[in-house]
Amino acid sequence: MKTLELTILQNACVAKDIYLLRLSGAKDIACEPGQFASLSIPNFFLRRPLGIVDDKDDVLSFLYKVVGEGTLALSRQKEGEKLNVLLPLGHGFEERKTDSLLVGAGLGIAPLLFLAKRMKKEGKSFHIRFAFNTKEDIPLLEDILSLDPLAKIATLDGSYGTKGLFTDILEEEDTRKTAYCCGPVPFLKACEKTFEKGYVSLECRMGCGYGICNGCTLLTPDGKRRKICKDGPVFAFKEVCY
Amino acid sequence: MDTRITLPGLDLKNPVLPASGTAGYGEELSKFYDLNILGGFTTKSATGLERPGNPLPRIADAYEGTLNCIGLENPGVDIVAKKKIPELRKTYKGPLLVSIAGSDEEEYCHVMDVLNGTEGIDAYEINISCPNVSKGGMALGTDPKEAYSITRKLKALSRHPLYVKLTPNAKDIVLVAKAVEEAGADGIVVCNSFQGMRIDLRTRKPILSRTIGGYGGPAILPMALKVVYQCAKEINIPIIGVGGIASARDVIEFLLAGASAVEVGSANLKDPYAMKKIVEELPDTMRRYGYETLSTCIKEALK
Repeated sequence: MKTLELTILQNACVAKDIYLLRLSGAKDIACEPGQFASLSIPNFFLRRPLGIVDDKDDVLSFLYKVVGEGTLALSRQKEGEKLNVLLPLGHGFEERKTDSLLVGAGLGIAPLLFLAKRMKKEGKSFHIRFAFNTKEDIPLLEDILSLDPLAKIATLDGSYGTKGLFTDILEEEDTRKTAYCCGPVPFLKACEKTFEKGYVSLECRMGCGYGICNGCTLLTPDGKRRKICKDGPVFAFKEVCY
Repeated sequence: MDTRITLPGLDLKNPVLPASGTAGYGEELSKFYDLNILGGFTTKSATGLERPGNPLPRIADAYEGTLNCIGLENPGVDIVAKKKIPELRKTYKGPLLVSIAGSDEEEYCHVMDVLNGTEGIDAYEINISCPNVSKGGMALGTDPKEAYSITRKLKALSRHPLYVKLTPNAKDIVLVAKAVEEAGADGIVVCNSFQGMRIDLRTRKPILSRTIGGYGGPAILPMALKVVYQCAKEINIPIIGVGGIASARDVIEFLLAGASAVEVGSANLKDPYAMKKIVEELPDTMRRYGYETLSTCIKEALK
């Protein structure tokens, strides 16, 4: 973990309200899929935690959605400007099993794209099952299809792929595979019910992002305390109550 | 440049400590820098039993600060005494202030009793100012009589000097400060966060699970400074100042207002290196403004 001043190479809208942010200058930083970084945005006090989408040479990529004033301000940052970044944070998808499923909904696909790239490098097979509300919400579709030409995609309104939910694009044997899941809370809860085994990556409002403020603590079923930022954001199924 | 400050039980090489609850028990911050550069270390409050704190969300960004309702999450005093303090003491050798909280006098006394049997503690900080619990906490710090009563009981029991952390949400914090001084406190810590709230425009509901939380950070500095100044005029025991401190110049400002040392809180959430930077820039800032000995500027603005 350290703080770095990184330079914006690209900060472009790639889907509805969704931006691809690429930062250069991250030398000698090893990031694991599922880990995140916390970005300081000018004129905002707390940093904003963003999932890492790619880590190539000294360039780190992130996907974020404009949901409030902080991310709106971030979307207005220009190429060449610098951002102070705290990274890498948390524990990611450390166990990467071959023949597994990458199940994402909405912007939850961000850490899964990084996971897919890493698994490809490691020679492990995976199957993409992504769900969105509508076609306009799908970022980096070409990347998704190049990572898994057989990727299955569902949209709620049927504007792309299969019409329906993620459960409508599963194949019969899918529920027995290890599932790596990221998306909104109701989606993750449905994943834990649908798949026999797997992991969820959680998101929440964070304070420090590195474990000192206790702003993001969840409990395990037997009452033990776990910090999303430090012990997560990736947890095994049934490891934490959320 | 002489940055040393001497307080009851605490020989500080500089006046910079973390505010309770913004540095845990040191394990995370020590991954960024050696904690021994700090004047002292204040732990997260310990209660009688383990507490999970309030449901999420319990932290939110706010203008030049943060709003939180953590709710005293901690592993309980037994783990703090047996694991957290010994673990911190393996690497950190400086002055150690351990924070105590509870729901009632009995719980505070139990926590202190356990900690009295633990080595490596230099002083206690008594948290009667947490705004985010339904019992104890701030309720004890807003009433001078309650504050007097609990301070007197704990002072009689304590193996170490006692610093009582007060809340600015009291009707008259100066009356509470006088009460704890009369009850035998060795110092006061002024002040905990100011109550506040924020609403999410998307959900149209308060952001925090408890609606109201504590607001800290640079935004509250002028208000906290005022409270330190007012207390310093009325009491004779030392004051540890807290409230939005984020630079070496802020530290000196609090000393001039009557504090003898300071605690840095929200700044640690924004930047893990915040206290290291403050400590490092202190000598240069002193030089720039013509200060040679930091201890001589305490209360100077009151004269």
